[in-house]
Amino acid sequence: MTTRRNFIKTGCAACLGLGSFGVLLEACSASMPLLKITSSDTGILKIPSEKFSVSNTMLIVRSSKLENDILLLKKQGSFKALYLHCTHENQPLTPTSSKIYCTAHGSEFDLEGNVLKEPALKPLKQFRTEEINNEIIIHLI
Amino acid sequence: MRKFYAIIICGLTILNLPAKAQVFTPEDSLSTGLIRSQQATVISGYGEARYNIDTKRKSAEASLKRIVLFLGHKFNNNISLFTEMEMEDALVTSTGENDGTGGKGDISMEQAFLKFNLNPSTYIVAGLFIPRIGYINENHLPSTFNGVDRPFLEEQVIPATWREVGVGLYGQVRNISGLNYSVAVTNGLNSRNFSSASGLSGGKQAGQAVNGLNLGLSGSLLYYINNFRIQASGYLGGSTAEEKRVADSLMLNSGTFGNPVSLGEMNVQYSHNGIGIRVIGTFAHIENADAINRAYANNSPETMYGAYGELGYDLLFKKYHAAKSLILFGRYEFIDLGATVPINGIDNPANRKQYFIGGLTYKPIRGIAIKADYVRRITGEFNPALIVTPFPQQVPYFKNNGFVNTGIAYNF
Repeated sequence: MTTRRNFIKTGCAACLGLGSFGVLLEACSASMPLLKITSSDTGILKIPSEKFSVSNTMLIVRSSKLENDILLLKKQGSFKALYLHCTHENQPLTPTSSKIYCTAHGSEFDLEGNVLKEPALKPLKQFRTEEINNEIIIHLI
Repeated sequence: MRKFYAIIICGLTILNLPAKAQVFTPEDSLSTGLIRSQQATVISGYGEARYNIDTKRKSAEASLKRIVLFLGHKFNNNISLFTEMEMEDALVTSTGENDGTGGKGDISMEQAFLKFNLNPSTYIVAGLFIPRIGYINENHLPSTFNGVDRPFLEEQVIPATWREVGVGLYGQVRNISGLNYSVAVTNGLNSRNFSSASGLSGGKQAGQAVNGLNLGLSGSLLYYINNFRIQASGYLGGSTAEEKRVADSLMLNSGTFGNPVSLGEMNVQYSHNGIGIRVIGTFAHIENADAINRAYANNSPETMYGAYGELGYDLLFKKYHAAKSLILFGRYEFIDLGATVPINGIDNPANRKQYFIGGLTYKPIRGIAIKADYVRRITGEFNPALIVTPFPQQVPYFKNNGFVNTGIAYNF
């Protein structure tokens, strides 16, 4: 017969295991900075250039205008804005320092937005960017 | 003449507009997501056909294994619908007859859920969905895995595709780049359909009208770092899918976690420069398997476990960078569906299985896969005590058998 003690024991062991796994991971990786934009300008997001430095070349941009975030990357002085929205079934994507992943069905993209692994067949949407007066402008349309 | 051209152009425009307004490709939906209405409808799908030869029994089977149609709709930036309808084995007939051939197929909903975004990296799903347990459950599109068949471990120990009705929370951990989590509450399994030969898989309820108060809890952590994908997940759920009156008459524990099933798994995948490696290990335990056997006489085991490792290499990677690929792969699987059996169970060494799989996956373009493999299955002896009524022409059991499989698959 199942006892409450057995259930609690199994549940606690599972929680402890998952918790330990999380703590272990926290020691391995740094977080990616997130910037929430509340700008009301239609079709444009403005990001201060100072958000980027020599050590920080990636920024997640969140806007209420979009369903998913934008990954803004600085590479050799220019900026690339990738929409973190899987081209397979429109799920949100997980960016890392080397690749972008879809947890829903396993698609992978490189930091140029190209497909590395299906089921996604099309590259990520890119938004046009420009830098004006120490501000990075992302054109949504 | 100008009038004629004007009429033609107007006619074409009118004919063209409705089609564009109704159906969007996923890419188009990106744009439509930015328009005022924020609405978009997406169609996609996948399917596979296969032909396999049993070398010992000298038999073969050809089947249109499955066709799945995905239909999704975004109501606004926060709420979306995802549905997948699946047809297996091509033909379903209500009468069981079709020009002399009975329909062997099934039609089912593989997923049908609403997704509510709490923010762009955290969302809740509600409806019929596949919890994140194991690797293949979520990554089951046939053009994305090697081998004509899904890995046997992830059909026999971890049911696939394991979908239930419930609510799930999915998200990314903000402070740890690459770390994702999920927790879900679903209806539980049905121990009536457990068996020693197919493990838990018969017990999944797949959104059918479900009896019983039993629930299942599942959770996972999924972490991406460098070229590794690391996942650990667990499940704990009651298995008595009967109302209390019936459960009492069968002397089964009922309620939320009556006769619980627990399952844990961990899998690690590495992929880089055309090399793909995946290993997975899993363990499942059925509490009170003796009571389940007493109630249903289905020879439920008490514990099951298994593991597999796969190595693949894309021979064309250097030239095409996965836009076109020819993957040579090998996989070894070990499964014990009756590691321990309860006192009233019957041990069957045939449920201790090893699979050696080797083959090729050719992808002329992304989304299309042509597959061929050879599977060697080695098991223990079949326990004749499980044959209740011996049949004079009983098909012999081959504990060392080989299968040649070929298949095609698509995804769009």
